[in-house]
Amino acid sequence: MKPKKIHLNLILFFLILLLGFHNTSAQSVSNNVHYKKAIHNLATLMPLNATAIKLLVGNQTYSHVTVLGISNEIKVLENSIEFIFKDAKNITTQTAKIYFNEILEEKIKPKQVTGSNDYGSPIIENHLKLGTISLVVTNEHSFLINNIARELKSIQTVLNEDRFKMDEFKETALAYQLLKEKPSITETQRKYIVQANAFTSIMDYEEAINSYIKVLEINSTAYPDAYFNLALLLGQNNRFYAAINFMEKYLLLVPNSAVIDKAKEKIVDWEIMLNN
Amino acid sequence: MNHFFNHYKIYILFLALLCCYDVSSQVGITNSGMTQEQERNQASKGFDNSSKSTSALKQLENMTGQTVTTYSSQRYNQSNVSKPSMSFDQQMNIMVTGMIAQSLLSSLFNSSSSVPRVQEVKTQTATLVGNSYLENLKIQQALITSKHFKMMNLYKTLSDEKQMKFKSIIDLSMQMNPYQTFEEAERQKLLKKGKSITWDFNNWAQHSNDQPTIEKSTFQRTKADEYLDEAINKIETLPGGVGRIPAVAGRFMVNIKDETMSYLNDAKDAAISGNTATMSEVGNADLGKRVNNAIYKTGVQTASAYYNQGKDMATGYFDDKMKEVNFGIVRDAGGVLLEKYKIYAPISDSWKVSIRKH
Repeated sequence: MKPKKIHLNLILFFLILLLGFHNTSAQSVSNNVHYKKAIHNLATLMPLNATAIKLLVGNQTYSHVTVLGISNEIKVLENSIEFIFKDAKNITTQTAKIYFNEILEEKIKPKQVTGSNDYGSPIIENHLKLGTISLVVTNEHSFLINNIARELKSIQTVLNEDRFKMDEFKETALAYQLLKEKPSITETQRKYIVQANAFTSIMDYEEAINSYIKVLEINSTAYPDAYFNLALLLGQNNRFYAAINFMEKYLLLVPNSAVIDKAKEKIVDWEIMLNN
Repeated sequence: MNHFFNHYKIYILFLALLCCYDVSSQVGITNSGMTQEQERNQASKGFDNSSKSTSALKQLENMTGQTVTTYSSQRYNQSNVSKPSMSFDQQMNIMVTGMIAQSLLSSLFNSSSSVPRVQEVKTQTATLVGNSYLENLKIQQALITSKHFKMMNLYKTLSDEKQMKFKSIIDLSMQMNPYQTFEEAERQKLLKKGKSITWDFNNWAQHSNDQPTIEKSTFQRTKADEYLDEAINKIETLPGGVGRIPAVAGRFMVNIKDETMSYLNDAKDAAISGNTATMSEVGNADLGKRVNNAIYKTGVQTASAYYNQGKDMATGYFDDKMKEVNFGIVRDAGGVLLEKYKIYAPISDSWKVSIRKH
């Protein structure tokens, strides 16, 4: 038996696949009408145009990019899109997956990129960056990438709504406002707040975010300022969707806040950043 | 090798000077040997750029047909300083040659070979690229920092949190009265827990300003004390009133003794308690006020004695009820007078020494 030729790409792919791609709450939203419709549209659109979609894989900063090429088959599943690469014998050699819950913070917007082909002639491509994977189509297929982006955005919205549970929070905020005596923060919460502020001061925003999330997990209304700070920190890390949601939650909890104007301005800023 | 370079430099210098001469002749600084007529013809065509031409000034003169009078320093000083006669062309010649030679010399001595020059260029490029990268990095860092500080202007810290409740060192829920010391509060706490506390702090130090009552001695009066009281009363009632002053003196001495004993008793209790705060308070007590206590007590006791004696003497004049009222007025008036003339100081203010916070 001949040993299989292992490409560098293959190794890279399996590494990417191993790196924490996991199924999440997609099941809870699978019954959502918009979600279902978006999945259906993608399932119709992508497999048919599989030969027009090229794949690129890059690291987080996209400083190193590997061209994977055109996949042999595209499958749109309930929680992901699967790109299957096959050899001449029609045997699957590698698979790349884009999980929807991994692109919740992504700015889903196709970008026109000008480059050149092997002969040096200029070419225009349309790139859609989805996490570490980018979908690439030629300029003639720009409509395709725009449609894919639209459907993915729709999926992203539904998943984010489910993630932040805004409707539920509105009730929580109302109940909080009706309370005569507001809940006070616990010692554990105070510990996490102090930690978060310390991380912020040294610009370690990710750790600060984690600490504030722990504060909210203990009691979601004891320290409303946690929402405000979390929003600022997320905005700082370019996670604008989450930043907007946390700021909105803060405004629901403290509608008469002294920084209400600033909070609203921030939301507008982040919305612009998200859509441009 | 150095020897060779020295020769090489001299050779180049020589060549340079030679070239300069040649160059200066080519740009038309020297006279070309053209006739005046030929030059005039040439002048009609404008400035001459050819290799054989006159100076620019001469060409101008030729074109206009006029002579330009130049007030050169040479002419001004002609009468005073004798200088070698030199034409304008010659002067220009010397100047240009000098400049070229100088530049050549400086270039010769600045870089001795071409190899380091190439290296220098390469290093310069690398330095420039490095500098540019560092500059970009600095800009990026400055942007991040500026963004951070902008965020920190809005960022809410714990100190902003009005709902924060800090645990105070003293539990205010203990309902301390304004005169209760921390030790007393602690004592009360222990009593609530059923612990036995011998030191009653309020017995000697805690008095309200509203009740200027005399502090009771905490020691037990003996039979001897009672006999002494009876003796004083008898002396006071001696016929002719001769015993009244000795009786007052006697009462005063007894009261002084009581006050002293009371103080010693307090001191003993404070020492037994082991409480430094109470010991300190006893130590800081103003003993002068104890004497005032004794005077006050003596005054009140004397007034009471006169009242009792007078009441007995008044038998038959008033009925019992009237007698009680009238002599009561006299007794109370005695106390009022004592207070008015500040014969005593109210014990609550005097004995209560400054209670320090611990």
